[in-house]
Amino acid sequence: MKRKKVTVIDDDDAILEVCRILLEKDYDVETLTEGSIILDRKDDLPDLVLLDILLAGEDGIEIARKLKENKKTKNISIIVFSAHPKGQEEARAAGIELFLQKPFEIEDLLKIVKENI
Amino acid sequence: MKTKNISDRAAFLIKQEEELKKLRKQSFLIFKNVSDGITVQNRKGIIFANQASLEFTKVSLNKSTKNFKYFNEKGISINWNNLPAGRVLNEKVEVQGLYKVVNKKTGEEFWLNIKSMPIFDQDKKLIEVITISRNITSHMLEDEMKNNFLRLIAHELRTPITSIKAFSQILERMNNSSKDKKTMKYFQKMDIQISKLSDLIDTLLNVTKLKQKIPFKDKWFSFDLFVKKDISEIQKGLNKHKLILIGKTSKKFFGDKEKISQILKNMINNAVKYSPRGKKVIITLSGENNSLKVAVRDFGIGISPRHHKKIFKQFYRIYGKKENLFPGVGIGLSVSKEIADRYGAKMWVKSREGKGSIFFLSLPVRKSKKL
Repeated sequence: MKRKKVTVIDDDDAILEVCRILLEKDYDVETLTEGSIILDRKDDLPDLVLLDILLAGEDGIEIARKLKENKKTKNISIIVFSAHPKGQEEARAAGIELFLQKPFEIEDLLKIVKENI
Repeated sequence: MKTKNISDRAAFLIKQEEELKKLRKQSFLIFKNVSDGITVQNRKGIIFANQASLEFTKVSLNKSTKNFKYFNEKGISINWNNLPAGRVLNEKVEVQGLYKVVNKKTGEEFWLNIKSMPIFDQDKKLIEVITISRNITSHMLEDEMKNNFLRLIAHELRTPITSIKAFSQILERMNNSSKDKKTMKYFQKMDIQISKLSDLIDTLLNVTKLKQKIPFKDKWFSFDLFVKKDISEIQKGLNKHKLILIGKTSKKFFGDKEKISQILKNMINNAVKYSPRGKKVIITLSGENNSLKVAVRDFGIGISPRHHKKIFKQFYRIYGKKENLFPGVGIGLSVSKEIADRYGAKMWVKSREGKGSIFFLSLPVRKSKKL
């Protein structure tokens, strides 16, 4: 059975490394510091995107919105994770219900990915 | 003799009149030049307005009211009748509040602290309303900037904590199979300290959240179970103090668990912090018809009665021979009190120097649900 793919988008290298360590046992993990890369891609799309809000360039909420609008990417599960106090509200306003508050417990990260991929 | 009396009385009256004229002139100059807006009105309209009120307040002048939109502190649009002066005319009691005024034409915004007071005649009939308005726009903007700064700092601190916490948990997992108990113990201690740091940042964030009146995530939960779980979590981070739980409320509470937990943690952590020689902290739960009560008792340094009310104010710290040895910035109790206020709850303290303290929290229960 083909392994599922998770793309983690965050501008903090340490967070990307943590996510890779935690998720690569069960999934193919791709880490990106810029979200716009995924918007331009036509194939090799992930099954789930873990997305930070405050990113350099286009912010996470805008990327989530564009992913949801595009026919090819609209079925990808999106989880927003953020240290921003209004992160959950912003995600919800963009129609993203899956949210993980930073700092998170690693069990919570593994659980939310497993349940939604 | 009679003539002398009359001339004395005349001289006295002339002197009195001069005094009155001087007083009137003084009052006029004060009213004219004071930077607060002052207006006097009766039911027919404004009968006096000083220069400052004409320049920035305008809200009390009938002709100008149509040019402005008014909002209360929560940002809800209100009409002129609901401003303090209008309310005093109806309710006949002193009214004070913060209001945002927006000029409809220019879009200019300013904040006013408005206080209106009734004046009654001998028959206790309301005859006039005096309104004093202070322009606090710069203060409000500074406050907003401060809150935005705190929010930004908190966000920036949370990001590295996220990876530190995760790496520490990853290492703990990797070493889980090893029999090195010491290493495991240190990992756990590291995790507890990271959680403490994270809680501190949450407290900082809550100061700004509470000011912005962000809604709480209220849900029903069993109060006794919640307290028991919280106490066991806090106990893990304590070396010397034993937390003893007595009694129960047997009630469900409708509230934001995270916020109530913050109050509880603050009460217990303070009890531990201010009883460095103490060995125990007693948490007593009790339930009444429409409320539930938490009492946290320590056997520490205690607090002099003159500080009892002030310690719930933001950034209030007690400096003394004994107390100045304790770290902190003085926001824990004020945040707890603000959360408590949002639930219509009460917080107070019974304490004497050298005799320990008992901090109380009394929460009203919306519907008395027995478990």
